Amino acid sequence: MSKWILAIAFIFSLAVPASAMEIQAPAVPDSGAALMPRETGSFADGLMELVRKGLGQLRPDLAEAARTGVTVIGAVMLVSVLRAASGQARKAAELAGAVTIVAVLMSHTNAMIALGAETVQELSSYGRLLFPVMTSALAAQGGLTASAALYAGTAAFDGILASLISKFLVPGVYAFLALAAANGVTGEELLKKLRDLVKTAISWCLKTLLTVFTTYMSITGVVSGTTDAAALKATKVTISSVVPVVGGILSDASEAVLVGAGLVKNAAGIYGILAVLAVFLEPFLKIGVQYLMWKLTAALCALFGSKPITGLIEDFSAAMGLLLGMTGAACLLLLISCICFMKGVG
Amino acid sequence: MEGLRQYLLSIICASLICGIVLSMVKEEGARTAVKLLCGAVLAMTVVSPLFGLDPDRLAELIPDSLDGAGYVSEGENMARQAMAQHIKQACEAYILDKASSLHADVEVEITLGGEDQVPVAAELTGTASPNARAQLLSSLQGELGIPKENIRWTG
Repeated sequence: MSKWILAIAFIFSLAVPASAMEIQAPAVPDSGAALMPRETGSFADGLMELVRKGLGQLRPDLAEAARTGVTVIGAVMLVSVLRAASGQARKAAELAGAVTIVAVLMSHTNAMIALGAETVQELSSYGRLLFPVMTSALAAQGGLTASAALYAGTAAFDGILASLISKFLVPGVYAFLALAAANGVTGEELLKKLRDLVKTAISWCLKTLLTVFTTYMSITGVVSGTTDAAALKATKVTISSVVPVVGGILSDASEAVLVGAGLVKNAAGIYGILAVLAVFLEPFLKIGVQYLMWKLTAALCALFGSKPITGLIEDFSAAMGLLLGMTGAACLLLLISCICFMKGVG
Repeated sequence: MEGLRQYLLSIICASLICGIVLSMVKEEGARTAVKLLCGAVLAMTVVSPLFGLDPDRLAELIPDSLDGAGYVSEGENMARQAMAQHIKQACEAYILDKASSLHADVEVEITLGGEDQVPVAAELTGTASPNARAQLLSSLQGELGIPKENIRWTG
């Protein structure tokens, strides 16, 4: 008889919801609201909806990039015709061509650099709201050591990356373009080397920071997660061995709370990941369109244009590539952090 | 931003001037010397910001607050509250079920205490036969571990 009563009490305890767990990811920022999926229950469905919406908004950017490409090709063709003249006129034509290309591409480049820098700051701001929520959620799941360690690492690297990009790397892109423009005009080998050095330095900074961050998160997740798992196991054994009926209730309550906390944490994590992608995707696609279009333009201009001028167009494309790297790094950092928090204990 | 603008303008101006000077020099020997000079001027113009770089400013890249202890405590408290709710409701359900099997019409309020949030007190309200009362008291003491002096029966 007592076994039946215990069984019924057990069923009752499982039926009680963990209503004290009110953990919600922060709402998606306005910049990502248009792309944010309506339902965030399924990650795969949400991602598909996000990508569909993002690609659907690309048409005007593609049209504008194509118009710019055609303008540049037209300018290069004109320069090629004028280069057919000899002497000083040839040099003047090349100089004018380089200046024209810089003038045409610079306004678009400025807009893309501003967009990229703004996107990095938006991602960083959203991360500062998301990480405390994920930290609390992981702590509620019993990951006390892991949550503190992951928060410290995520906050540090996110802050460093955002500051590095805004204070050094974005000015570095401008320096890269200035050196590329000066090299295009004068053909100086030194300027070419310095341009390549700036590009290498920016790429190296991003790669190194991401590598160190990923290594830190992997090691921290394993070490502190194992510690938390062992602590949880020890607590469970202690509880269930104390008083027979109460011990069983405590153990089951503990299990229910952990499971409930895990579900809430994962739901917040999935929403956070989709929100990060919603903020990141549109700017990334816009900059990506410019990058690909100018690469294509440079390839077409190589058929009839001079090497310095074609190289100058490729440099503008490379600048877009650096911006893609920066925004991609900021997004990847947040995604890796979310996944580490969601992985949880053990 | 103004500093950046000045820096970029200085590179472009230096490059243009060097380009113009080089195009004006025709003699081979002089051209080599002028080219060397122009290279040095351009290099100095490009690296000039590095001379003003303060290594201490690099420390400003690291954010001030990396301490997540507050958020960890918040999570711990949420889990503790959820656990307390579970335990309280499970214990009350257990007693109510026992009372039902003894044909006693009671309501029970369990109080939790201690670090493990175990039941430490109980208040029962309602009608029950003396036998049912005795069995319920025995369950509260023996199976839930509530001391006799902390069990109150009202009504």
